Amino acid sequence: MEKKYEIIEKQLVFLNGFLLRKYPSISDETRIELTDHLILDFEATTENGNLSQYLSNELGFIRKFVFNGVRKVKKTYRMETWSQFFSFFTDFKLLPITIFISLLFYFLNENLNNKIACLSIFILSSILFLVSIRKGMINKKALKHLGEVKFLGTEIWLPFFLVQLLAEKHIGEFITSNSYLFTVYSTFIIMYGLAALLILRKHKKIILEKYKHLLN
Amino acid sequence: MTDLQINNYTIIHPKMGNQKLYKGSLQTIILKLLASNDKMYGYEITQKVKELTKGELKITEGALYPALHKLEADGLLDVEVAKVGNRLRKYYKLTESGARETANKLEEMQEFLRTMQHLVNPKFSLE
Repeated sequence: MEKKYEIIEKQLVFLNGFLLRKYPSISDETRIELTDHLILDFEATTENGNLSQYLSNELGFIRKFVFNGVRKVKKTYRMETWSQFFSFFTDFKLLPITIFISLLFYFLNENLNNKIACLSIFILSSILFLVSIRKGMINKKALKHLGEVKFLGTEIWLPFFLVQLLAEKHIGEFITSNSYLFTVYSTFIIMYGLAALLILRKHKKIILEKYKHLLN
Repeated sequence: MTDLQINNYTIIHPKMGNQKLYKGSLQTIILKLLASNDKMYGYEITQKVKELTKGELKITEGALYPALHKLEADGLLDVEVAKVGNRLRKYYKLTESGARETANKLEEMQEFLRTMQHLVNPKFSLE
């Protein structure tokens, strides 16, 4: 590739400092790709070797690139959670868990009063939520600023939100009035919460391994 | 007129500036390049396309990286970070499903080109 200019060490340090200061939450992978692109483009297009001027012209692109990186992280977590969720219905090893949960809620709704049925789903989902916080979250100071860590627990909010809906008088009454609807609704909450917890734990391991150099 | 070779078929395009025609083909172009080059990095892809089309087709970084990240999120591309000189570089390569998807996309592209040839220039259709 043709170069008009060779970036110097001082400019490399400036560029890394600039990205770290302006976008502290981007992942290592995004930073590596962005830095490499900026260097190559700067070396190929600069007329005067002025890096500050180049960066101010590229601010729009840098912002979009970072935003895209964050969106990618969120999308990955969501897709993996849904994939894990569907596996509870398609994987023969996991299917018994799904059937057990469904039967449990059907039994609760048919045989006990609606309040107890709602209370049981609230307790179960709260346990899942607390376990997610306890076992899944990363509280290491050196990693907290990373997008991958920030968005790690976002999927657990969907089941928690659905449980809150049950507390709404009209919605709660409507859902609990039909055993089948209540069973589907409750099973979705628990299985999705479980899927989110498994993905959370999987990514926690990946992140701790990937960024162990920051922890030492 | 300049030609962009994709798997033995040729997209004949009018005077450029009409980049809109290529928008829907961006993923196919990326996948095809990766199928022929084992692994590539983002900037290299933009330069390769420019070189192959003699500067007629330019993939902007604003279009390239979102497309690469989407392909990666969809599991069609794998990434590898390697040390080059005194800095790190992120390379993309096809996964197994990416290779299968490339074949499908190229097949779709050929079908599309055949249809377009029949429509715009029946005398010189590809068949």
